[in-house]
Amino acid sequence: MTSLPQSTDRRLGLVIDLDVCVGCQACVINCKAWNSGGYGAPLADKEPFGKNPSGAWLNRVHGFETVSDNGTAVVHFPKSCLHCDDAPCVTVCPTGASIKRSEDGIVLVDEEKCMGCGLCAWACPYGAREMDPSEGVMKKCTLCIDRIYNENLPAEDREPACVRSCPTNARFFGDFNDPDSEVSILTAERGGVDLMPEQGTKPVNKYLPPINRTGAEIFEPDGFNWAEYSEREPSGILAWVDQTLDKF
Amino acid sequence: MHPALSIILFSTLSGAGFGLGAVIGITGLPDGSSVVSSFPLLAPVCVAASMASLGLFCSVLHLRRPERAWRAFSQWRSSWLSREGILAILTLLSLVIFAFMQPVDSIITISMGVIVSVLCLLTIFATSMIYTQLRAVPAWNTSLTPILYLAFALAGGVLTALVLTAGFRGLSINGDVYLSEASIFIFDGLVAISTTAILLAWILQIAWWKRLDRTGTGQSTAESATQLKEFGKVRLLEPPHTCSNYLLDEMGFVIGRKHASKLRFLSLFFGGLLPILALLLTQIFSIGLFANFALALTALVTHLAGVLLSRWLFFAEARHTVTLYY
Repeated sequence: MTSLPQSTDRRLGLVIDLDVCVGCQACVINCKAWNSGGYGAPLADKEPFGKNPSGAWLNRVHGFETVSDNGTAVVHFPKSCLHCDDAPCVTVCPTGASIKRSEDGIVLVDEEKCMGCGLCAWACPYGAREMDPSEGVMKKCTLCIDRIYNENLPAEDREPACVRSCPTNARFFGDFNDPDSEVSILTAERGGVDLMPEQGTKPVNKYLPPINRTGAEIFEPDGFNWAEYSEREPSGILAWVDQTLDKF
Repeated sequence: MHPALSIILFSTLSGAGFGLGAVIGITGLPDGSSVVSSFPLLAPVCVAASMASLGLFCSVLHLRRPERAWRAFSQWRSSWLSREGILAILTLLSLVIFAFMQPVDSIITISMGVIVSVLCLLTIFATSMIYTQLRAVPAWNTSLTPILYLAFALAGGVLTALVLTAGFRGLSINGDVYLSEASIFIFDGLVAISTTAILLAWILQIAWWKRLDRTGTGQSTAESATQLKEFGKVRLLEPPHTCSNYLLDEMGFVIGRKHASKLRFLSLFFGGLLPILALLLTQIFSIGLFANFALALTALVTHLAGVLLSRWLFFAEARHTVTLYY
């Protein structure tokens, strides 16, 4: 049923630390790799080695530049499904393919029911859903539902592929309903924010804002001059070589 | 938003078809014919149902997995698209049943006509709500959108009724075809109603466009999308993909906005000015039935062409909030 649950037992989601992400794209690649072999149809590409490659990806990293009087900053910005509490993509679905699970809050597409109308992708303000170019069904982040509950995997691997692969620890996975979880504590301590709160979607995923370093003074040690340093007189054996060469 | 031909044809054709259905429902005559046609109700009902069905068929072409379209009837509790599908089928059924319920003289048959009209209007409303409900497309997310869709559907419906009146209410006398006294009255009445309906629809369209120009992407900005407001103005430095993708193909259409004002004028010209001119011509000169039929048909065809163009703009000009990330 594409009606939304009143509340969910757990609210699983991600915290993304914008202060730490370096935009290495490891999460993007691991997401694509895992989801081409896990839940649902493989994530397809069109013309992957051609002139104009495109394809379905569930996680993408944008690089933004901010400009103000204080200077500029570059922010690497991973973006995937935010598993909203008030997910507009779920209620618009006419076939019952798009659901929000009442047990853990994961927003999921039942690919056997999807007729590929694309209305859910229009309803999502964040662009978290992409149509699979070969299967003709809607693809989206499953929060790696086939990893987090998978008892065949070692315990440390039972988290989403993007979180597992992040080399800088910019991504965290957990239950936002549990106030003692890592994600709840991080959100409270670092002031985690919702994207486009004015859309009324109540996203579960939170973004930790980068620490503002624009306008910070550039570090220059007192009494040190690079120009003088580079033109200083040689000493020791170099001085002897210098003097000897001057004689010729 | 990408203007897919299948969806534009769908809302234009099924709009006019259900608009005609709404007219038929309240204009049934005691002899089983309708004000819009001297034939039994079956004739205008067939025209209305064909237009609506053709539109619905076009909408199925938009699906990537059309064999699963039947599942769309299941989620009426939450989904406007599902409601639209169910209402469309119910309305088509009620139209066909009404066509066979002749004569239209008892309280039951008259009530059935009213039910048909109401169902037609509800279907058009449900179609418009598929777009109106989307907050992510602020241009569509206004109560003006359903009013606009209803106005255009009714204008197209009354205009089609006019063509049917001119085409089917002629009397053959000594080989020449004339309209009877009563039919001339109906024809002139329908000309007046169509002209008013077309005028009203385009006034609403202009109001809708004026709102669109003020709206853009609504309250959402690149800064609210990234929550990086305190760092200053946000712009994309490194795109997340090297070529286009589904999101940009589907929601990042720009050609429409580039030529918007010219295209708006063209749609107004073909959809509003030409049809009204053709309708006025039927009144200015006392001309024959065939000429009146030809003028009415011209008005309908140019009107539908103009509406198609305005529907193309409805998509092409609308901006989706995902574009704020690009």
